[in-house]
Amino acid sequence: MKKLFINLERCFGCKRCELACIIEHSEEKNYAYYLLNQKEPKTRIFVENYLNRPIPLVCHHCKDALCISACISGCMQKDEKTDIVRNDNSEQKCVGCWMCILNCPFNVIDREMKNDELQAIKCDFCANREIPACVEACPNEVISVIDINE
Amino acid sequence: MMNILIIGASAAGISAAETLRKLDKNCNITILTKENCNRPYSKSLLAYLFSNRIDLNKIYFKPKNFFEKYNLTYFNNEEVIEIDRKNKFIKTKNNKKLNYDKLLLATGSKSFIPEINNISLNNIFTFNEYQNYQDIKKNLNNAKNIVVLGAGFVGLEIAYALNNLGFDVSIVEKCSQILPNQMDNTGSYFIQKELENKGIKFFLNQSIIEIEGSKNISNVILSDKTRLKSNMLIICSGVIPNKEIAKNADLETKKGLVVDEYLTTSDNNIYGAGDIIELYDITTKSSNCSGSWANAVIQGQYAAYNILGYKKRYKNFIAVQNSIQFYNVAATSNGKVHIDLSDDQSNYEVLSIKEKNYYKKIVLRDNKIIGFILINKINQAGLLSALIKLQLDISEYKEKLLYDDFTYSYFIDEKFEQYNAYAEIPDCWKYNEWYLERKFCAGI
Amino acid sequence: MEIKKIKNRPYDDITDYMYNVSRKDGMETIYERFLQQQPQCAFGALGICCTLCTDGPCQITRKAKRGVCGATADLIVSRNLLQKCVQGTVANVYHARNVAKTLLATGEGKSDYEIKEPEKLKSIAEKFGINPNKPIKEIAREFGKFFISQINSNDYEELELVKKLAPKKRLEVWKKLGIIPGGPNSEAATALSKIMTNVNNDVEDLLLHCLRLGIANEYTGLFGITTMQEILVGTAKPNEGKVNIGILDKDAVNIIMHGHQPLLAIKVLEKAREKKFQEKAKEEGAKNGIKIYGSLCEGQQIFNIASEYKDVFFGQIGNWIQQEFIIATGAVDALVFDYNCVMPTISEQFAPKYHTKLISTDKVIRQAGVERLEFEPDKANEIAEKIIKEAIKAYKNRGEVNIPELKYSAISGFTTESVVNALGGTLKPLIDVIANGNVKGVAAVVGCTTVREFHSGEHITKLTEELIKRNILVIGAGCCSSAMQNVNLMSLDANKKAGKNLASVCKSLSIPPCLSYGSCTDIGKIISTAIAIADTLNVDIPDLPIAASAPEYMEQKAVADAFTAVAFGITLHLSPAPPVLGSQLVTKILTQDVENLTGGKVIVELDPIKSADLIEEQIINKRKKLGLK
Repeated sequence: MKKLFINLERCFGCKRCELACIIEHSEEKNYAYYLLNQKEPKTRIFVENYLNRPIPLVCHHCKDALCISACISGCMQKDEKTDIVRNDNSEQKCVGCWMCILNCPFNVIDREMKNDELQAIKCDFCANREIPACVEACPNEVISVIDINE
Repeated sequence: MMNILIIGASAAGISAAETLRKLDKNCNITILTKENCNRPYSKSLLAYLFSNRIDLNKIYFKPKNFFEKYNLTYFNNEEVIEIDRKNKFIKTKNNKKLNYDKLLLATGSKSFIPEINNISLNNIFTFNEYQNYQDIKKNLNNAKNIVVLGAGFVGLEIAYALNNLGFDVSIVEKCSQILPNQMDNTGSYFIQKELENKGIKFFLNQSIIEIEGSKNISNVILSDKTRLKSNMLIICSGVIPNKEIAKNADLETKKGLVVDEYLTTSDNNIYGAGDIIELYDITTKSSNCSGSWANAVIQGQYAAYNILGYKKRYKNFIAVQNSIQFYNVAATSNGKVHIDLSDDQSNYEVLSIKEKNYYKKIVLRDNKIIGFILINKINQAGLLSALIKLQLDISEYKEKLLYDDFTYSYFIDEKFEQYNAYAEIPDCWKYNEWYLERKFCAGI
Repeated sequence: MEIKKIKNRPYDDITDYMYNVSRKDGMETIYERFLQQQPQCAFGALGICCTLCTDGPCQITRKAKRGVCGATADLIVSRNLLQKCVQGTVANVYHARNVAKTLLATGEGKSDYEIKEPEKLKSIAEKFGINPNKPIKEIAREFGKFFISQINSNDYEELELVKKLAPKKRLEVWKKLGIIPGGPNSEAATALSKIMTNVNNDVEDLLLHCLRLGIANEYTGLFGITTMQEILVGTAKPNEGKVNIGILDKDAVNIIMHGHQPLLAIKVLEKAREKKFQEKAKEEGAKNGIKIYGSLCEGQQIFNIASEYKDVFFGQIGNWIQQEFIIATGAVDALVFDYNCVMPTISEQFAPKYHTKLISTDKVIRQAGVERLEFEPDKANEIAEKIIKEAIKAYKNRGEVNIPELKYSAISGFTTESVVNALGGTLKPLIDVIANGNVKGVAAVVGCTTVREFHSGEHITKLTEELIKRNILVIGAGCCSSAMQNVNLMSLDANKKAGKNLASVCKSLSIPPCLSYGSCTDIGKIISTAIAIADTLNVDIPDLPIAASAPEYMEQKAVADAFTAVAFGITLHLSPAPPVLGSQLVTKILTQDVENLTGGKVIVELDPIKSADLIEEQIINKRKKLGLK
């Protein structure tokens, strides 16, 4: 199955991956219009800091994912074919209980306001794109897609 | 072909059934529940029905074809009243008799009802099962002043939902703070303030000593003799595990059903998972039952492995964990957040930071994290939970614990049993010389 | 990296105490803001980010080797570097022009100041053809006018200041390279034109222009400032005073003079002496009257001449990082600032919370909502009176006061003349101890303090301690002086930390092993001391066993000063890494090739011990070349 892989020493902390993620998951698909609509930008890939080194944190789409076990509404599910873990691809609905945030050890789930309701958002591997937006946007080829046998 | 029987169709039972089927295609799996529902539903979602966050058809946490897809036999309306351990069969109230090779008790918990006079008047409800939801909803038209007994998790959720619908809600709590098991004073005050601003009234340090009414409830009287007008009382003063069935079968029970690290009871063929069992909690260093959905699901998975003989050890159990969102306040907590007078103060250390809209508290024991509370900036909650389970010595990070940047980025060497997402970094990355090598490592 | 040792907090204990106080009061300080900015983008840190035109912003990345217009990493880095050098140079020149205007006004009799060092004025004016037998006011007028005309001259007219004052050997080197500058403002304008989009592609030319600006920075900037200021307020004399935040007095009206231009501060000191103001302060409840302190480089310069003002000047308070914490004591009644190094949060967050009255005294430095009393040479007395009155008014609004207990003392006031005096009239004793090896060499540790790389004064302190342990005399200037004073390295006690030989030399002269020359503009004086030694020995500056270091440089004036050092042939150690590492060519030129051109070069090293090793190695190499052991 396809996963994201990171070459840390190439990362310069420019955060173009975060920007591309925000744009890809917005309706407007354009950062200027997105900001004009006054929404708070929410990204699903996080460039965090360790002693002033930039470290991108990505969702591992885990096997036996803790977020799936913690989800009280059953909306967090792993797709059987692609192995992507998403919470917006099923009949069930996210109720914003944040049990997934409480359990994810990689700190990659965040909260976003959608239709006046706060919901949990996380990386969906850009399921309707050929390669994920962050991989394409990175200028130093830090993130890549690899194939893992799990 | 093994016959596996699961009593209880909530988090633990269903997750065990699914895991069993994924591991073994052939065994017979039968699930029994005493409730009326024809699909497994999530008890934690019931309060959201009131606040109109979800519709009735969304309380089910598995798809419609779940039983078909995983080839599971399901009986509802079957309450198990007897377990014959010697001959390995169970008997239900409707006289149904089922043999088993392995039995999983996932009967969950029920509301604790305190002893108050007139407790059986009309319009007094507990809030635990779908039936309770239906009863309350039916009687909501006549209700105006609703009193909720207990400011625990469930009590606050139902109070929040009913307040949103426009009812006059008061909460009576016998401790001096709301969420007495899950939060400390400061954290609970954030939530209490937010709820009070939206109109909910709190009566702390009070119990209900008398209920007044003839057929329907009309008033309640509190410890300090205050009389509260109430035409509906919802009791949410805690849950107790449904362990009678186990006790009657002579299985070892204390606070809950006693199981070992392989979730096996005192009978080798009977297992336990979910709210019914009690386990050793690494944070409080005592055995406790837990009411957490995530714990039940994971225990169900582990029980499934052990039923099939895989011997998977369930360790690092934490009883208290919850997360909540009321209006603009998001709060999470995990592990042991109170330090009592009975604890040896010298081992503990509390780090906290409080700002106008933000609170973070971390409790350490012998330089290991055993509990935390986060209000409003909850992104780091997952990492702190993982550090509690790992019982990692974090003495070298003590000063960094309270920073906003204390995330998984500090622990990328811990893979948490997943694939390694980070390529091996050159040595110079860790030292000051990286500023000279940085450009070349990046290949520019 | 050992994570335990890395801390994002002030280095010395007194400032750390004040940091805790500000955090308890709920204030966001420089350390919180620094953490929120992490991780900082490396494209900017390496200098390979160009934001000049709308076809950008461009970075040189693994995928993109050129910007949209075709600029390579080398060009982008050198353009950015030249821009910073320009900013630093014109800032120093602005300061010099202010002082020259005051000198001119004094000559015309239209100022409150008088000529305190007439001999110095005569000797310098003589070099430019001004008759030294005229009345002193006439000489002042003519020299002031001449200096301003030099600043205003064109870049194709070589500066007289350079041609007459620079050592001969240096002039030859510069002539060969073609970098003798013209008027600095014109040079700056040409430089800015060169770095526009699509104008200049020649990296070496841009770097040579930086060197031109460095030379102009010295003669129309640093040298002019220090010489003319000394003429107006007196030469530095060694004296002892108290330092660090603990010197504030909760029973006095505390006025802090903050910034870089000490001319107004002198008048404030004189006014504060007057009985009527001291009485007024005591009436308002301040038992100990009015006390004036200095902060940043202005404080260092007042400290230099403070021997005459000991009744009103009570010490040098701190450096750039400490400014928010100084206000957080709640004991500062007036903060008077005149020229750069004032954080925006001082007027937006800290002063409103802690009752401090802010006054800006230069037309360039403006903070929104802050009263401006712009300095004019003939209004100095008037402004000084107003400042004192405002401070006494503000005293009434004091709230809670939190002053740390510990106070250190330090000796300051060194400059070429005072060093020569201390040595008995000539530089020979100093040259002797360097020659016989008791003092290996002299290192100038100068510049700002920064929170990058978690320094906050730690690198300065540790580097200085290492250097004096290895018997290298240290000269401090700027916020580095303040950082050393804050940890008691500029008092006679510091001789205990010095190596045996250095300690014995310093004890015999009653000087500390770290000499403070004053402010960052006094780097010009350090260079003139070096020139004096070089002339005595009849060698060129690159041959001397000296080195310079800016261990925590922060702002653009430091970049300009760095090029000054390199142009004069001094080996300069820098930390944190300047934004040139993105280009291999520029890095190689600055760290290797330029040594063959001017004799100076740049070394970059972040670890204090290793920096000390490198500096010592440089000094020992130069000793070998001179034939010393």
